[in-house]
Amino acid sequence: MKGRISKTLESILLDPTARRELREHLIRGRDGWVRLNGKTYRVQIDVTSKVKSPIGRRFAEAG
Amino acid sequence: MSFAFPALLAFLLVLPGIILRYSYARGPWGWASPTSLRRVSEELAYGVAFALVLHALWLVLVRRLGFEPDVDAMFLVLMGNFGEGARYLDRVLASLAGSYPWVAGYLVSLYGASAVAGNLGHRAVRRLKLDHRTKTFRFDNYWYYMLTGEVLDFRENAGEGRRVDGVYLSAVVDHASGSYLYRGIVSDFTFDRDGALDTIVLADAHRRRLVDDREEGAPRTAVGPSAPDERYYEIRGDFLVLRYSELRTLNLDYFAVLLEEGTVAVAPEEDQPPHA
Repeated sequence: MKGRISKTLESILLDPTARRELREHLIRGRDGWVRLNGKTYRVQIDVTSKVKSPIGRRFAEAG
Repeated sequence: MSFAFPALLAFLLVLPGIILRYSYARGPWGWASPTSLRRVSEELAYGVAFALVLHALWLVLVRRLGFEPDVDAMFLVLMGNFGEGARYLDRVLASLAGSYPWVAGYLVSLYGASAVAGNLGHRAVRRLKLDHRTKTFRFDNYWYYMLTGEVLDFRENAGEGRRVDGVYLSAVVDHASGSYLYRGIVSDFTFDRDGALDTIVLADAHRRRLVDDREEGAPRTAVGPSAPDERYYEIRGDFLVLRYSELRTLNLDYFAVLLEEGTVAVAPEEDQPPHA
């Protein structure tokens, strides 16, 4: 698999509740928190605003 | 001597350059690495140039080892011209027949060395991140860098150090019933024979109709883990494969997942960290 999926993200994707939480943050395009195995993870979405395209901004606005 | 023999010999002589280019562009087998195969005509041009350099180096090396290849005879065979009345033909034939095993060994060893050199070159560029630092070493595969988030590590994109745990893709796909917005986390992607992006594999894929976009300026309902966005529905299955040729527009969001330690900063109500 060539996509970049870290071990933490892989664990989140395997947990249905955490995955759902992550998905909603990604849909909104805003930072948030995900709880997994008693630990809290911060989802930081806009790691760079420089590369963000106008289309990206439009998707975030439209949800 | 048939017409095909000089052509075959030319191919055998250019082959080290092609092998070097190919092994450099493809990288080690099994590595998730950018491949950068160009068109055959381009590869051939690069192959000829690299082959000249490789032969020059290899000739020096084998001469030091005591083998004196008859370069003149090779040129005559390549040209297909053996002088007036084919006066050099006997000399060339004698040279080829006498040193056939040496020539075969020379070529085979050069092929092997070219493959190893190309492979090591690819490894060195990736390990030392030279492709992030300078465009000279960057592989001609922009999609790889985009879909893995490595594009953020490019020097011109403000340098190293930013963490990317995943890449969230949004793409519009037209169906007979209307346009849909597909979203998910990039898990894998493939390229076709020409090196162009062919498919993108998404994990946790979901979609909604594009007409369900919020109106500009419309009030946002509180959407979050406790109030999921009802416009989307999950696509059952572990992975969704999108064909690149069917995508109309495409957007990428790079995100990080960081373990929270200690105090959490004040956040909007819907973004409050869950309490364990």
